[in-house]
Amino acid sequence: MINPTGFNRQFVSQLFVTNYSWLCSRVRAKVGCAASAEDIAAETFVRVLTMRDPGSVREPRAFLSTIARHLIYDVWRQRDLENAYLKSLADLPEQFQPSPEEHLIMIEAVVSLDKMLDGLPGRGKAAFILRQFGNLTYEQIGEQLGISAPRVHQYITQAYRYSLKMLNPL
Amino acid sequence: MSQSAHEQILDEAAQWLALLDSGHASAQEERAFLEWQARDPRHASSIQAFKGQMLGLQGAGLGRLAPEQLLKTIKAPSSRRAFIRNATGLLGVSAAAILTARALPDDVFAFHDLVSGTGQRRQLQLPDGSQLLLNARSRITPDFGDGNRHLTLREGELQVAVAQGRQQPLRIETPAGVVSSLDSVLQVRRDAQLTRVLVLSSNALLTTLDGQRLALKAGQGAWFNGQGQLEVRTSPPDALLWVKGLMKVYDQPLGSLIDALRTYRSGIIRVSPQAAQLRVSGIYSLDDTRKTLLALRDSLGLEVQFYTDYWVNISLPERAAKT
Repeated sequence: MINPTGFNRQFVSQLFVTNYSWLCSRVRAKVGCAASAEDIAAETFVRVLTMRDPGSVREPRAFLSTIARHLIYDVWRQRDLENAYLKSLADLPEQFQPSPEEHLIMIEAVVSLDKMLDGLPGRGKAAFILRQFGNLTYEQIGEQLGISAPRVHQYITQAYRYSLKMLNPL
Repeated sequence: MSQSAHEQILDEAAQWLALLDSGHASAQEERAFLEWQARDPRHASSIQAFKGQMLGLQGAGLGRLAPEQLLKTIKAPSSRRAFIRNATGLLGVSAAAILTARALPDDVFAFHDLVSGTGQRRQLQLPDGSQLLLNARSRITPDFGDGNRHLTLREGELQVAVAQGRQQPLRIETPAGVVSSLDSVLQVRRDAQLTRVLVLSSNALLTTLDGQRLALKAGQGAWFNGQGQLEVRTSPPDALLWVKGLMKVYDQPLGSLIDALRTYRSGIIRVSPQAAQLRVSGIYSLDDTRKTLLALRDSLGLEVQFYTDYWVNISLPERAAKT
């Protein structure tokens, strides 16, 4: 996947040499942990490497900061989701708790589902999840959410539009 | 492609998916959907990307969570908003466009695959008029372009009533071999070790990967692996049971019956090792797995705990386990 042209590779290594420590300290000021700051800074450069045309970036530091900020959001969102997931498990008796492996895989899947539905209204998310994972009919979903089946149909269409867009970037 | 053309495709795809999901799509509409996918590879690939993603999520175990639990998790408030409120400007500089490379499972899922989920048998009419029934958790790739009549069974099990009156046979391909027929009713199933073809009416021709050719008549079945092994027997009388949502077992360990139920039930079923060894016989419902589990509890004296519908624990009662 990472297959930069000679020019881009040179450009990115130049970018890296000039800005890596700057970016690390910038991110560290925000996340407060040197190790995760380095991870995020490194991931930022990986993102730049996979861009179609990194050479077109005019303000490298502004650009790097923006990418890093989004990565920080991702990390935070993941932590939010993980906490919420753990909370939902807390009530389960021990024999029903997932194993650590199941747990990790599950968190990862929750994160990508969250990305897919990002931006949808709460009812849209609910309708989509009840349909896809609960196998409920539109009528049953409508009952549960207190809306009509045609309205559920609209919400589901919208949810499909969001996730298709996310999965099929131009 | 222009942005608007791209968006229009995704828009149409979303409307198709939502229509089919509603359960109110007519057979005609299902066919029109297949045609829509065949019309443009971008149509098919948009659907394929979605189905691939969903299968991945199901495979990761999201299907085992109660949907309410999943929903609560996804609705977790975002600390990103708090961050924007509290710390605007710390990292923030002018916004620039971000291009993220996204890895799609393009090597895993072919164009316009037809997929059935857990506990879902899907009935479909193929473009040549053949009637297809997919067992739960199955996946096929149809190819009916350029006059082809071709199905590839990727996972699971199918039954097809081949539409008659064509010059060219319908071909069903598996990694272990190809079966073709002009007019029969066939079942093909992929298990971990063996592939099974059952001919329920008329006849069919099997060509295994290792080059063995064999004509099969109604009532015959072939078990093969494409690497030398090929066995022909009378087709088992219970082959039609799954079509009706039933399953028959005769003196099998409970564990293997539960394994079969898993394809029909969302959620985790845990069986204690002692209980898994019990022998069971009988005909059980695949469509109502709760009923099946309760019937097993009553006939075998098992302890079956439902903790929500998604977590089931099966064990021997305390006293029996100790003796």
